[in-house]
Amino acid sequence: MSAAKGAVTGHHAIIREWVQLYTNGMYAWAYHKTTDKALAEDLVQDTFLAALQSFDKFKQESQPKTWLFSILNNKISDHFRQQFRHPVVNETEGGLSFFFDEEDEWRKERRPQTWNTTDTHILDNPDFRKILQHCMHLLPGNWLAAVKLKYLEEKEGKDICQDLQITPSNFWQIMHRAKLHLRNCLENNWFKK
Amino acid sequence: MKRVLKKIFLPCTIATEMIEKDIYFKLSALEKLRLFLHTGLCGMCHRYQKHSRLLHRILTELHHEHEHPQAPKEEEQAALKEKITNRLEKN
Repeated sequence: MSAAKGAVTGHHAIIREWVQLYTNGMYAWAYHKTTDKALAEDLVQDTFLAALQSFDKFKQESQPKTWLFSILNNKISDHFRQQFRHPVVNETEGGLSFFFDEEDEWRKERRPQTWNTTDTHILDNPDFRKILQHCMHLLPGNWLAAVKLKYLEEKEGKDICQDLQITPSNFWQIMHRAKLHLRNCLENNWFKK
Repeated sequence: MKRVLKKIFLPCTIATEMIEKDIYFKLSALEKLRLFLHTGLCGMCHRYQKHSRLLHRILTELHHEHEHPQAPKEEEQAALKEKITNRLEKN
């Protein structure tokens, strides 16, 4: 066996071991971020393949888990970037006229109501989390992608704009529409209860 | 009169947009003043602002929590590991 071939076999063996050790945590993380089982599986698989292909870049002094999660996080962000670039937006549903009338004032039936919440740990409530996920998944794909990119990457608005190659006004208009819908959905399904 | 007021104090569409701009970017001093006046007079946009900030906090917490990722079921874990191992073999 040549030295090069032996090294490749060695890499395979190490990655196989990592698959056993880290798949569960990585899958749970990918699912937590995407709330899509099939997608989470694909992202984890792609991560291990990328790790195998770029094994030479792995610095032995760093933790494999840290390295794998950094690849996985990049894959998750790439997914949302791609989702953002292939928008499917229904303007009738997504337009401001859903919320505001011709005078640019709130439509009576969409006016924000008072939310009775003093709960500072609302995310600890699994029922609320379900509703939140449900409402997020009702957003058009590119809006959801923009929301996730913003909150996944902890980036400043201007950096996201650079990343997505959009203007700041594009970005906050997307966030505006996404938040209008998300707020409305949460009000109807949770805070109005 | 209403139209004049609207021009001075912004329509609700723009006010809510500025509320978002304020969260993700910075508003100029003039924009801040106009938004402050608008939300002082418009109870609905004032509520929207409170809700939007709460949503911002919830989303920030949701995406940065590390403690509660849902664990996959055991059979799912095993199947996924096998699938990945098989795919690795082909590469």
